[in-house]
Amino acid sequence: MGKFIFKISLFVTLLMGMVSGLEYIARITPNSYSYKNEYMLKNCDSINTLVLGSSHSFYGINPLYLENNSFNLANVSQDLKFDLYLLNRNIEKCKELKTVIIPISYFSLYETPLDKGNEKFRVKFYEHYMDYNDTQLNSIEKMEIYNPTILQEKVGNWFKNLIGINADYGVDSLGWATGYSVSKIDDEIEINVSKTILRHTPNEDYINENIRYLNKIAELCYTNNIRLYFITTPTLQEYYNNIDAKRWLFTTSTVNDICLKYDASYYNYLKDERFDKSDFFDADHLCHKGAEKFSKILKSDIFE
Amino acid sequence: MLFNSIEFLIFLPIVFILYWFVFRQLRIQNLLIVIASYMFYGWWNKEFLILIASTSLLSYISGIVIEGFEGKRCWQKFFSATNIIINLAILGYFKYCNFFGESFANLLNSFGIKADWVTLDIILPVGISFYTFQALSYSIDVYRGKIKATKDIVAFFAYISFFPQLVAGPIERATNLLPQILKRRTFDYGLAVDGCRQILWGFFKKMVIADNCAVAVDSIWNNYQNESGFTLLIGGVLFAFQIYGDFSGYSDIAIGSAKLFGITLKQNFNFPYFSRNTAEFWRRWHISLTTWFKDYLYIPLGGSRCSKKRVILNTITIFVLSGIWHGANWTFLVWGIYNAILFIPLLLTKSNRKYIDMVANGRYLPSFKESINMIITFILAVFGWIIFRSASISEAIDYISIIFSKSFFYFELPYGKSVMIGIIFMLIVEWFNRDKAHGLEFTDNGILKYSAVRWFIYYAIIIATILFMCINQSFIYFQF
Repeated sequence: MGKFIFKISLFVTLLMGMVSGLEYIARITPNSYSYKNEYMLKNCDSINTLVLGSSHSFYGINPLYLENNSFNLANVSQDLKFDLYLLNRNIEKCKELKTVIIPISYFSLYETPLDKGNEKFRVKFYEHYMDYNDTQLNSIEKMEIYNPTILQEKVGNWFKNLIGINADYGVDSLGWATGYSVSKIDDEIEINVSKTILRHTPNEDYINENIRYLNKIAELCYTNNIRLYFITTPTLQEYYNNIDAKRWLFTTSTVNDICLKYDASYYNYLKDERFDKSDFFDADHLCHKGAEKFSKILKSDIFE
Repeated sequence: MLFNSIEFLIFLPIVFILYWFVFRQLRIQNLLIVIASYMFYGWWNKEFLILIASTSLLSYISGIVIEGFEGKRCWQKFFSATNIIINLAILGYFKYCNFFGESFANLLNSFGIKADWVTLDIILPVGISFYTFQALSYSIDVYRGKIKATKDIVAFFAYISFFPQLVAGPIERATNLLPQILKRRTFDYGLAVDGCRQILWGFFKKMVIADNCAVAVDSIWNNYQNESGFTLLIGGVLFAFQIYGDFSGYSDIAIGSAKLFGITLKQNFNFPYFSRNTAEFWRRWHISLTTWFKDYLYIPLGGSRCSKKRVILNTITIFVLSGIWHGANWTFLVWGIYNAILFIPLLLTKSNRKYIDMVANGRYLPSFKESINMIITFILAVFGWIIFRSASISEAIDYISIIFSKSFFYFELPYGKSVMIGIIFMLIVEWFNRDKAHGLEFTDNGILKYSAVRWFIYYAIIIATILFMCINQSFIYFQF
């Protein structure tokens, strides 16, 4: 028994060392969150335009085609609470900030908060790389090794760095996501659309909370003399024909009310006919071509 | 509590320490097994603990009563039958009530008799089929005089509820497990180390192979009407490995965990995908269930020592029942019939016991004929799994029709590419260990005699599991 306990203790100790090593590698390997944080720390005082929001703006708005000194601070599944957090965190330091762009999606008001939904594992990235410390995750959930897919990517990138190959962190120098290069729209679009809409099951429980965050964001921009633009990114016909019209009407009228109250603007491109299937990666995300087109349209509508 | 959860990783060492270091008296150790097992089960649903306790108590009492009527065969038969009927009634209520109610109503409707079945809100208790069969085997064995009825109620409750195998088997026989529980156990270093290896291999199969296959399989099945025939065949192949990784993985973790407590459970899988015909497959797949049906149903029905017609009927009965055992759905029944159709020709031509030993015994590689036989047997099993996995018979027919359509020649592999590497790795490891009880059973010869090499393998498997696992997937067989 003594031999077994000794060997198993030694084995577990070494294993803990390896797991800690893996966790350390995952945390020190640069990623889109750490890159964006670092960029903001270094360049905050020169940024004029900041893009916040979820994957719709992360993939859909390329700051290269906006005004000079624009930066995309959006992240996958980033909800209004985290938009507000990032804005609050950077607003004081960004002395030249004139414009903030926030996407309003079909699910924006009906979304379960990031820290309570299926993607709550993403909260740890804000904690690890963006100094967020209000997380309700337990210590296991906070570990990077708890998400094998992301861990694989990070260990892969760490290894590439080690052997001198440039790793791809999924974002370009201005924070725009590079992952959705070409359209993957096919004949099965109807099915994919229903899947996409199901991915964001509307939850009525958080409407008030989400409206409160929207108001806070608008108020923050208003008091700091920053022009706030709410925008809805284009979607495919198959997508916008399948959304709940009543909910969408409520969302747009709520956003319009907030705009009136805080002197903000709302541009709705949901059904913009200038976009065709070749502009979309999937039903509600733009691909590279679509992002370039959309960013140029935004520039002309907002800045010119 | 799931094996693949943090809770279990904490629970198991605590029970181990209490078992070997704190409670060293046999009765107290058995009581600890009962308490730990009820905690393990209650983690999922406390209310159903009463069901396990009732099943255990009923079988315990019936065992004593049956033995008490020694010499009075009629009374023994009566109490044994009563116990069987009550246990099967409980199982039937939770598992089949809605299914038979709805089917009966549909049947009446088809004859023009208006009938409605209001679906009852019945939650299926996890593992009910497993522990009910275990309880049944005890009372039948007492009735047959194969085992003495135990008076030790704690030991008996430990036998029914022993946590490693409580919710998904192996279905233990009282003749194997009860004597081990009644006997004082001493720590066996070799057994415990082997148990740890088996647990590790089980986790790899479950968390890397099965759970990654599950993601691809779900994607294919959710959209099967729009996939090519080739993709659907791959979906069937991936499901074959999903269910194998899931269930044999669970069995490995269960058997390995039991070894840590000085208890040896029965082998439940013996590398079934290396079988050369369907009969061999069924001797290697879910062994504890197939032997249960063989011993308690097939042989009492006359087995194969009766007329050809009767043999065929017995075989169909066994396969149909083992199909329905998996759940209340026509797909399981058809799956049973499908396997009976594959099995009966082998039985009639006396080829069912043609392959008793392991394939390529004493050789590294199989012969050409053996390879072909293994591939054919595997493909036949895959079509069975397609029926098993489908939500309805019409879905299974649609799915299989697409495989045999022109679209089969549209070779694309949109899902499951990366998990294929894991499957190949698993098959290689299991091939070279196919004469052993599990994939990581090592003998102390060759390069494996060096503990550094063995530890390197353990760590490599653990790191691969951490990197490629899927999180929070339940076990398929829990629902049975």
